[in-house]
Amino acid sequence: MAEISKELRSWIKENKIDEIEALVPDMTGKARGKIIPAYRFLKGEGVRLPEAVFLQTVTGGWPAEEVYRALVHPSDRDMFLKADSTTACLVPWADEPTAQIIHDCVNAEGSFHPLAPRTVLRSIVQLFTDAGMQPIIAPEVEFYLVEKNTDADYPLRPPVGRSGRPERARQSYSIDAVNEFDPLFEEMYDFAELMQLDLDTLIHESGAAQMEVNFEHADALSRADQVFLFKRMMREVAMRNNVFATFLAKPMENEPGSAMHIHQSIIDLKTGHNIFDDGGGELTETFRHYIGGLQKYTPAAMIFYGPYVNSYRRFVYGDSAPTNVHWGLDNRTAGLRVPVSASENRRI
Amino acid sequence: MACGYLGIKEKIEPTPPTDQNARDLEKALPHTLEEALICLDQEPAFKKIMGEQLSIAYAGIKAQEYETFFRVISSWEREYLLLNV
Repeated sequence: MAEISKELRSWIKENKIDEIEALVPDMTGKARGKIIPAYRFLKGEGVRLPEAVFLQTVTGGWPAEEVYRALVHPSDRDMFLKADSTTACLVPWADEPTAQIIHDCVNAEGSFHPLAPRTVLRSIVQLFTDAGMQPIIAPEVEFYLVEKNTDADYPLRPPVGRSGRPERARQSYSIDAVNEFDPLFEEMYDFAELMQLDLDTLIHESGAAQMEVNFEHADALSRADQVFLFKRMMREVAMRNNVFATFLAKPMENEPGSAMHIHQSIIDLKTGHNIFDDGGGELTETFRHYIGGLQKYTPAAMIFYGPYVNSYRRFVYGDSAPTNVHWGLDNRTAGLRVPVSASENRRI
Repeated sequence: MACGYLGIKEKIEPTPPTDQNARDLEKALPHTLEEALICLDQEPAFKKIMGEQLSIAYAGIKAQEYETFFRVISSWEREYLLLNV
């Protein structure tokens, strides 16, 4: 039996939810899971998924036989999905009142499944908690709007906006260029509000119809969840407006690449203060060590930052992507940048 | 976050900050998926913090994705190599 919290039960009833999408973010950050009638979900019979969903490649293939065998139970058993009630929100594009709820994966022994990306994040946050710290994250997500591309053999083209013309010139920070796609962004904000996503700023980036959405800073798990939900929503909104939204790192050869920048800082759980700064504007020892760790281990972590062959097309000279792990104060050319900020907002 | 955590635990001192154009400094990051796989393999402490099983699964998936990509013959190859090599 799957336990469903009292809050979640009443939320489902208040919103007259008809269907539940039980979502699990997979290795690619896309949603896997099941769609269940709300009355069945409330019976608490639980939702299950085979463990193997975490071993599928982005093209639908599988890793080498020995890897698969080493990681999947010989009986190809199921994982149990556990609803995280704090993530429940509406699916604004659904015809019937539908909820989406992110689920954790739990194995038969009752512990978080080691292959679920959400488990990894939980365990790393726990390490910080055990040390009296809480990481604070603010993601910035870049993406392109492109004309619908139904034949993958053809290169992508910028979409046509309200003017009836595709975008040509570089429009960094242009307000009017964003307005070209006004109906689309109105819908994006409406949906974000219904989903309670903490979107902050929207800007036009340097590529043709390349945009960036910033999220407000908060704890790491909520930010990961929101980026996951946002990407799903943004692809949907674009489709409803007859274009595609792509988060691919380098979708067009002559346009800049897209990235996700991660602002990171740490607060002391006891005092609530930012421990990267001594309160008087001086960088602390913990800050130095954190940078030191980023410098030492980022090459090993690169496969997570750049998960696809295409990601590496972005790491070319002059394309505002780092090729090394130098750090600097307000130095946009450094991989690890410390922006000008007040003591409490000291971040990397 | 995992990298930073290891830095705090191991008390790793960073290099001095730079105010130069860092793009002109030496390259230190892998610049293909294959190289990135090797870099992951060389850091047991990082694999451990991400989870041993997760690291094996992830590396296995990425190796397979790279192979799938490598099988594709691109239009660039047909255009520039077909009749010239």
